[in-house]
Amino acid sequence: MKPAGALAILLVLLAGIAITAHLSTTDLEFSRYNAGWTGTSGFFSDLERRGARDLGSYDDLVGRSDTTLLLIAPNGSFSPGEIARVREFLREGNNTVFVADETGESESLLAGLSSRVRVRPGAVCSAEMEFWDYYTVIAYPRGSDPLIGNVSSLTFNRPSSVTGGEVLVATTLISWVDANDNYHLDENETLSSYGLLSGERLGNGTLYVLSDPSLCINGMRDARLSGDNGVFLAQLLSLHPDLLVEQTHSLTGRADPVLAAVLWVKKTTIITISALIGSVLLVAVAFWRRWI
Amino acid sequence: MKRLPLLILVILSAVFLALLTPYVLEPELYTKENGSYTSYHSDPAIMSAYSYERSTDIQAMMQELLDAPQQIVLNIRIRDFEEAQREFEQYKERSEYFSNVVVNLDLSESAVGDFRRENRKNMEALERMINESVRFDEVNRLEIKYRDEENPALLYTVVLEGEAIQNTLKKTSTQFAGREPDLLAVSSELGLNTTQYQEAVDTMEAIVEEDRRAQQQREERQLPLPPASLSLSVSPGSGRYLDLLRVAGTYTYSSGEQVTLVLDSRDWQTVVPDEKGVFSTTLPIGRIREGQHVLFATTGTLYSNLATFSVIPTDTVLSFWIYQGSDHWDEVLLDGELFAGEIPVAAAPVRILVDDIEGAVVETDADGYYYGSVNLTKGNHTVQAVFDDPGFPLNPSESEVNQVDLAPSVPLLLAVGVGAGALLLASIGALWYVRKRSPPVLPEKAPARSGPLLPRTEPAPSGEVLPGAPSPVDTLIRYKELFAAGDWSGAALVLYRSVIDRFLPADTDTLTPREVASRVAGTPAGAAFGSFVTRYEEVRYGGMPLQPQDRLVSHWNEVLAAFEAGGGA
Repeated sequence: MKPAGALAILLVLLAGIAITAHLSTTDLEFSRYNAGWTGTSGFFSDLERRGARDLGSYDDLVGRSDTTLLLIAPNGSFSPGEIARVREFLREGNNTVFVADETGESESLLAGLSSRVRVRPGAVCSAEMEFWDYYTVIAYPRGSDPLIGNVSSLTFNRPSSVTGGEVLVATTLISWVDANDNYHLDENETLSSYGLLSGERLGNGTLYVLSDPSLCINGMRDARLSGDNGVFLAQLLSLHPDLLVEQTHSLTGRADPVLAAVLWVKKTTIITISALIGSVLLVAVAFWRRWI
Repeated sequence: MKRLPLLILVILSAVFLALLTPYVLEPELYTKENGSYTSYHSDPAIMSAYSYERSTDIQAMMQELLDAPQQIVLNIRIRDFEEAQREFEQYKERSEYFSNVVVNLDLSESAVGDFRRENRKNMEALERMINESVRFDEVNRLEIKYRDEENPALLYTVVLEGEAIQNTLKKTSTQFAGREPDLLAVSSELGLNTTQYQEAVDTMEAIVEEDRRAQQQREERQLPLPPASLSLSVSPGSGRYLDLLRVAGTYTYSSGEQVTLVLDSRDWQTVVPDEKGVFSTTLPIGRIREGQHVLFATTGTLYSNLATFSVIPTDTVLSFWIYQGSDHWDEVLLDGELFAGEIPVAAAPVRILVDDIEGAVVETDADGYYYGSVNLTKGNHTVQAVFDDPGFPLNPSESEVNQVDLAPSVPLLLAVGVGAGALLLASIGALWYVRKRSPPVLPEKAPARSGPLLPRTEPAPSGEVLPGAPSPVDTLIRYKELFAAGDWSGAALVLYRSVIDRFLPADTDTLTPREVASRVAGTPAGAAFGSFVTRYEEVRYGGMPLQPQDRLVSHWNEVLAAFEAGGGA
């Protein structure tokens, strides 16, 4: 092999590694492919270790029992059929639906489920804060529930609030909703305790609504927090033996166009095999024709 | 296909260019500011841990402040004023600390801020309660003393003073109780237990009731006043701030003795009756508390009747303005006026509250005008002026609350100013340096520069004189002119340039003399040129003076000779 050819192969390899590394991640908020602090790659690694599966179609919910369905950072509207499937999922089996939403995107789903719980958009601030930032709210459990069993406090990151249902985690009294988004406590912003996690029994199942999906991001997982966030998430994944993760209406399933194409290729076996064979053939032809 | 590696490189370059394109116009790929905050959350990795009071600590502090008055009023009730004062000082200290916490956490515009304001008023009420109770206790002791001395006149003054104090205590207690509903509402909102506070309100009312009964008994025990040859009257019987009351009396059988007028148990003025035994003076109502006052005259052995008058309080208006200090950004200048109706209030203390804590006390001048300054830390603050001195027959008044934000705009302006100044200075310095370093314009060089130059990449042929270069004679004439003018550096440069322009290619312009010398070193002219450059550098850069018959000229002649003999580069 000529030196120029060897150099070209080396460059191609290095470039391939760099491009692969670049294309295999993204900076989209909450994305499972985002390894940065705003992503949920760490949380999804935990899910994979726990044997969680993506929810391909809402029809897969039919007939399931002892299963937890996670809907982290919902995005977009839910069709009546999808809502009906979730409703059946909750009523028929001993199942749990866990929604983590701070924007109110879950409104149509919660209304369709006839739930009393609602997410109220608007950042909750508190003097009970983890860092020098009112948005890093520390909230405390109320009552008893398997989800908050061994949790003494939780640290949130710019949460909204929830109303309705049984409030399971709430802020202290010296907290307020930053209605005008100016970070400061103004005269028309009243101090009160705000619910950040609510639970509600629906049929045989349980619905939990958390007002801050940021608990699942890498930045919060890696930070040293006074709250028992890790315990809480572990308990969430241990509620039932089976775990499903919604990916069609969740920000966690988002990817950049190029990464999405790569993921599509990876998911489609025949295309993956074809791509591998094609690569090998190309190298063989290159040697045969003495291109390199 | 030999071009394949090149093709791959081209393709790879195109791919990386395509990937980099979105960032070409944004060279700032990552900063703390643009990468650590999104609309959903903040990056915990860049945030500082919070180690200050949390909600639970703040609630505990408020509970302590709410409970504190009970112990203070209990001590007042058992007349242990030292202990009451000690408890009050602790309460005051905790209140100030709490106030700082509220400011630091920017909670002023909330129920916590309301609690702080109510607490501040309670603190003032308790301080007044302690002070007036101490005075009332003193009146009780004086009553016993004067009763033992069987002095009905002084006893009467004690009765009246006791009544004034009792009125003040009642007023304070009423105000304290009047705040109870507001404070209870705020406390309920903040989840505080108000039991001890309510007990404190009840205890305070009980103290006032006990004092009222004591005062009533004192009045009942008042001894009848004997007729005297010394009489006194005050007219009119009441007045307001800055009114003048006329005090007049007679001393029958006077023999020129001085008469002392005693106002509220204290010597006030001395007068001398005229030949008819009549004396008079005026009493301006200035710094005297509101309510009933008593005046009598005495010669030491004789006592007059007791003349009473009442002082009616007047409403006041307090204006207040603040400005940021021009020299110190953390200094806030303030001024304002205090008026009782149309009358300016003179020599009155005005308290300046910074975040509800007394930051300064200023005094009004004869026109009711006051001014001063307070130093603030960075951040948001409230500043308010308050007049509430009970020594004046004036109702208290407060200015509006002024918000002061000593935020980063000030340092930013300063930083921009300093930065711009530094840049300006640097520019001026650079300009000066560049001008200083520029070689003097040599008229002789102009033809050389305007003449055709050899291509920069090709050396001059050995020994060949480049066209347009000044002749050695012209060069020497110019050298001597500069030498005569004392410009040795310029003179040396003329010689150096003549060699460069005559014999060396144009690209040597970019080289230093030493680099040129090293390039020429291998040629027959190398040794002579090296010696020339050494001397040239001594004169040009070392600042050494040229001599009339300097070595530089002899080395220059050697260099010319060597080059013309064909020893050039």
